[in-house]
Amino acid sequence: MSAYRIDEDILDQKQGFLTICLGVSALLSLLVGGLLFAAYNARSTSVNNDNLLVWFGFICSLGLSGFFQRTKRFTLAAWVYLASLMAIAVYSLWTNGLSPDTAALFFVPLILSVLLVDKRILWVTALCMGLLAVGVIHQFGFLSALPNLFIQLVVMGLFAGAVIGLSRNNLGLVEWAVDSEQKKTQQADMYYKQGEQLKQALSDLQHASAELEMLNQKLGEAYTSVERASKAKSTFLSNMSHELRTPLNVIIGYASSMLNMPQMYNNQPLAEIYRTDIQLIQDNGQYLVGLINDILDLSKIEAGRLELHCEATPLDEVLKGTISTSIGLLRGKSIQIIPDFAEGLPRVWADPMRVRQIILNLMSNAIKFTETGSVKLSARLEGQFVRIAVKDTGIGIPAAALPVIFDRFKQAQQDTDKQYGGTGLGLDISQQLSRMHGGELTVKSVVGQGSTFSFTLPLATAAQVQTPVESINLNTGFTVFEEAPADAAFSQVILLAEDNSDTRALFHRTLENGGYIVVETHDGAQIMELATGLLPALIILDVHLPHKSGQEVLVELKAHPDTASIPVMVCTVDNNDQTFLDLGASAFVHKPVTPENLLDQVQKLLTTIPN
Amino acid sequence: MLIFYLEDNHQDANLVARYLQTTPHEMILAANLEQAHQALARQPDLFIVDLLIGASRDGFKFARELREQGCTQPIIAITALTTPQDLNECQEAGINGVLPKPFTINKLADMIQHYTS
Repeated sequence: MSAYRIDEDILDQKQGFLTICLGVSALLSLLVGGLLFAAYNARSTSVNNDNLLVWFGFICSLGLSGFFQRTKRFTLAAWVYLASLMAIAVYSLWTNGLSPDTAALFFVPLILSVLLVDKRILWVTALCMGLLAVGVIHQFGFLSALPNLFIQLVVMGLFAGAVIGLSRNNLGLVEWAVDSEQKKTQQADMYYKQGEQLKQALSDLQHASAELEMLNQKLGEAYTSVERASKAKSTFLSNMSHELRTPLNVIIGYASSMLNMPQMYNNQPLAEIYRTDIQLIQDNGQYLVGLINDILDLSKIEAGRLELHCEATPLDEVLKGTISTSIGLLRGKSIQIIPDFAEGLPRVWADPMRVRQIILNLMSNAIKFTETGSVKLSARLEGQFVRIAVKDTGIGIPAAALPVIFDRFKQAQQDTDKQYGGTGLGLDISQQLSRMHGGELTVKSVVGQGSTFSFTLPLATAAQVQTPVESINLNTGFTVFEEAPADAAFSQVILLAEDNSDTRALFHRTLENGGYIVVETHDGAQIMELATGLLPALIILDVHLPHKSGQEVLVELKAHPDTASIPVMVCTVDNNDQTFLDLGASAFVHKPVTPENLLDQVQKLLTTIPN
Repeated sequence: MLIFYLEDNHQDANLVARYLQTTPHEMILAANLEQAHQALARQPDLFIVDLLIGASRDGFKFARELREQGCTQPIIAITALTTPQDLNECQEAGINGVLPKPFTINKLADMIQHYTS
C-alpha cells in the first residue's frame, strides 16, 4: 500500500515541473513577442487568408495527432502536432515575412516542445531561432547581400549553431532537469508497475486463499469419506471374518473329531490311510484361520486401531513358550532348535502376546525355509534394549530381494510362495509390531547359508516393573478358549527315539493327544544332537536303535551337563531294568503297552519330577 | 448335567450334540429365541449360545434376559464373532466365556470339562 503513495508523490512532482516549464516558456514568448511588436511598431500585415489548403492540412494533422493520442502513443501524437504547427509557422513566415504575430507563432512549438520534455527541444529551439534570424535579416533588407537560398540556409545554420553554443549552459540545465525528470518518470513508472504487480499479487493471493478454502473444504469432505470408507472396511472385514469362520468351523470341528474323538464314531478308530488326509484338511483349515487373523491384524494396524497391552514381561518365559511351540511346527523335519538365552533376563516393556506373535512368525519362517541344520533363538542385552534374533541355516535371501521381503504379499522370489506356501503377511505384521514396540525388524542373509532376523525390545524401567499387571481375564473370570498357540506355550516336549515305525506312530499320537509336543527320531546317532538342542522334558528311549544302542545313548545323555537332568524313560521288551537304572534311567515302558498306560506313566513321571 | 445350546447352524449343533453324546451330559437344543424360552422350563445347568441367530444378535439378547431373570448358571458363547468389541459386549451381557469358531473338538471338550466339573 505504501508503494502507491510514493508513486502518487512522484506524479505530483512531475506535474509541478511541467507547470513551471510552461509558465517560464509563456513568459519568455510574451516578452520576445512584446519586444518584436515594439520594434516594428504597428506595421500592418495582411494575412493571406486564401490559402485554405494549409489550414486544411493543419486540421488533418490535428486529427492524426488525436488518433495517436487515442491509441496511447502520446509522444508521437505530440510530435505530429508540433510538426504541423512548425509547418504553419514556416509557411506564414515565408509568405508574409516577419511580423510580431508570425514571430509569436514560433514560440508555440517552442513551448510545446518544452512540454514534451525531451533533449530534442534543443534542436527545435535552434531551428526556431535560425528561422527567426533569417526572417529578421530578410526584414531589414540584408537579404539582397545573400544571393540565394543556400546561403540563406547557411546563415540560418550558423545562427542556430551560435544559439546552441551560447545557450549551452542553460541547455545543460535543461538537460539536467530533463534527465532528472526522466529518472523520476522511470521511477514513477517502476513504482507504478510495482504497484500493479502488488495489486496483481494481492488479487492472486485472494484468489489462492479462496482456492485454499475450497480445497480445505474438499479435504474435509475427503477425510469424512475416507473415515466412512475405513469404517466400512472394518465392518466388511469383521463380517467376512464371521462368514469365513462359520464354514471353517465345520471343516476343523469335524476333522478334529475324526482324528481325536473316536467315541463320536462308535469307537471305530480312523483308518490309518484316511488319517493323514484328514490331518491335511484340519491343518489347512487352521492355516486359513491364521490368514484371517493376519488380515484382521493388518487392517487394525493400518487403521491405527491395534492397541498394545504393554507390561513388564519376563522375556525368558515368552521365549521358552515359543521354543516349545516352534518344536511343534517341525513336523518331522530334522532341524535342531537351539535356545540361546540366559535364565532371568531382565524384564522388557512389551505386549507379551504380540512379542510371542513376532517371534513365532520368525521361527515358523525359519523352519519353513530350512531343510537341514538349525534354527537358533537368541536374546542378548544391548544397552537399554534386548535384541532378539532368529538365525537359521536355510536357503537364505538374495541381496536384491532383501528390501522387498517386508512388503505385503511378497516373498523373496515369486516361485518361493508356490514351493513354501505362506502369504507374505507375516513379516509385514512382525515389522509393524516391532515398530510399535519402538524397534525395527532387520535381516541379514547369505544365499545358501541362512538368514538372521532380529529386533529389539526396550527394558522395563524400575517404575514399570513395579506396576501391577492388569489382566482383564483374571479380574472378571471371563475366559476366551483360544486355539493351540496360547496353550502350546505350556506344553512339554518329549523326545521319542523308537525305530519301529508303528510303535513310533502310536506313541506319537498318544502323547500328542495327551497335550505333549513330540519330536521323534529312529536313529540312535541323532539323539544327542536333538536332546541338546531341544532340552525336552522327557526322553523316551528304545533300547534297540540303529547306529547307536540305547545303552550308549543313555550313558552319553547322563554325561552331558545339559541333558544329565532330563528324565529318560527306557522302552524295552527285555527284563534288564537294573542295568538301566544304574545308568540313570528314570522309568520303564515294557512293550507291549496300551496307549492309556503309556500316557499314565508319562504324566506321572512329569508331574513328580519338576521340569 | 443338562446343557442348553442355542444354535441355528445345524452342522455346528450336530457336532456339539454328537460330542456331548460321548459324555454323561444331556443336551437341549434351541434353534431360535422362542425355542430357547421354552427350554428354560427344564432349568439347564449350563447355557451355550451362538451369538448371531440368523441376522440378529439374539445370543446377546438371550444372555441378557437370563441375567435379568437372576440366572446364575454359567453362559458360554460359541461364536464366529471374535472382534474385541464383540468380546466386550459378551462381558457386558454377562457371558462367562467364549469359544471362538472355528474350534477343534479338543477345545470344545476342554470348555465343557471346565464348566461341568
